[in-house]
Amino acid sequence: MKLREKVWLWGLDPGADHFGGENGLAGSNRMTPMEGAYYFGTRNLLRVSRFGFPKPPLDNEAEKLSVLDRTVWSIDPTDPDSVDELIRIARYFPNIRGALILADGEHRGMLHTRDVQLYREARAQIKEKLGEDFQIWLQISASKIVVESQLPYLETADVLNIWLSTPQESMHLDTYLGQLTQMGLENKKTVWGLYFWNFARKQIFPPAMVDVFLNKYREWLQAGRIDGIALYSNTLADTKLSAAFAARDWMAAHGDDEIPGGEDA
Amino acid sequence: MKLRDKLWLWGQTPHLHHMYDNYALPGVNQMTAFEGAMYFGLPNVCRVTMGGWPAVPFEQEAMVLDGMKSVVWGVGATDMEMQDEVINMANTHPNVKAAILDDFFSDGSLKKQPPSAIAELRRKLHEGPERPIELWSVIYCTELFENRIPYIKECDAITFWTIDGKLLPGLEKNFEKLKTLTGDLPIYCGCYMWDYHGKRHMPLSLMKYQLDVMYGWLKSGQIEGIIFCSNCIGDMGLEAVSYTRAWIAEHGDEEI
Repeated sequence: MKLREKVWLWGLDPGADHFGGENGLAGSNRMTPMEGAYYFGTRNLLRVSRFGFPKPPLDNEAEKLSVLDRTVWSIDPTDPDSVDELIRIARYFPNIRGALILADGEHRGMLHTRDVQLYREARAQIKEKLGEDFQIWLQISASKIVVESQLPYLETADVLNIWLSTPQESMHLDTYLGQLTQMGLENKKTVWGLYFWNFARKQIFPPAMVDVFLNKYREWLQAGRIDGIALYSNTLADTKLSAAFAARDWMAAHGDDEIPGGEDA
Repeated sequence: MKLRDKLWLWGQTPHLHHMYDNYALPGVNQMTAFEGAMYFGLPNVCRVTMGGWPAVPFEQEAMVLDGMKSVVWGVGATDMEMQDEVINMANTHPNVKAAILDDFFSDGSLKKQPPSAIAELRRKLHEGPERPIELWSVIYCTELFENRIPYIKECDAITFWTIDGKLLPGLEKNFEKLKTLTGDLPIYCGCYMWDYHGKRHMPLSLMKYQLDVMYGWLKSGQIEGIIFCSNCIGDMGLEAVSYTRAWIAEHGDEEI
């Protein structure tokens, strides 16, 4: 399979990262998640709710995203309605393949909870209604996967979506990957994220570091050590950020590289 | 060339067809022009301004539309800022093919400018960008009068529309009339999936009729393409939309 089939876009409503001006981003953002997926040359999307958007019912959004190969939608385990809505639309749209729990979104208005029992209940309900093959994803910062107390959360997921916050973390990439084995999580599928903006410091993510991260991820993909790459996000793609341009160029150069492995994640 | 390469989306800002409640449309619309093009399986888009949307600058949307094969931007006959922006888009986005005047051939619109004004706009589009782009215009079946000929002659292509469903049975007769006005000018046929003037669903019988007729014209080379209107009704579960999507999927890859 081709590398681009292993790449996902983190898709938010346009303007979600500019809202309130808290992230220090310049300009404006109008690109939608679906437009962003095509822009970067992938057909896989993590459709993430923030500040309550997209608002249910999700039929309109799911209809237009139906042209993508695979979508995974965020849920809020504390809100039974969000789980029910995902179960409802997933029955109509076969490209909806998973539910994403945001375990680490407190900084950017994302839905999250620390009650692991709710994770388990949501997982059980979804698997019962949509089948065992419907994947439960869990988003978490790389720095958290080295903490033993995170293990109960991580164990509820089929796919770990792991994010690194700063360019400086590039030097820890191999450490983080190794930590998964030490935690007994080596059998989990993992999809590794890359930001186009240094949210922690409200500054640019250097385009040269985009290549460092993506080349490392490609190496891991080719070695079968990870299962995918996630790009963040359509909300940063049309704001003239050099990192977004670099990611698009990298995808154009490497998207058709051959990668071993099946379709899952 | 595949038939799909001759197919276009009439792309407008989401929700605009619902905004004024003039068309009695059901549901809500959130589909963008690019999303609509991908949803219908169309490689080309006319990105047309309505109610001031999109406002200049167009760059952010043009980045998204870089994924299209061809793009035609809406332009105002007297809006110099928009004209300059379209030329700017043509200079920075190689898939920009033309600019299009929407709702231009009404009596009221024609009174505001002589044919020479359109000739000047066309000259600007041919000579302003680093490579020339065309000037297209919309004409409705109710505007097919000889006094339009001096304006038509200043265009590089005409797009032909029947917005009133009850006039669709006269499509072929009106097309013959149009050809007497346009001569050898390339013609693109607009195809509505909602009866906007009738404020009702487009009956499937009429949807099938217009697609059959336009398909024949396309195959015989009488028209250059079909333009489907629009993303603004693409995500509301309309039967005519489903029918059209299936039609495009069935015929899109035919060699033409």
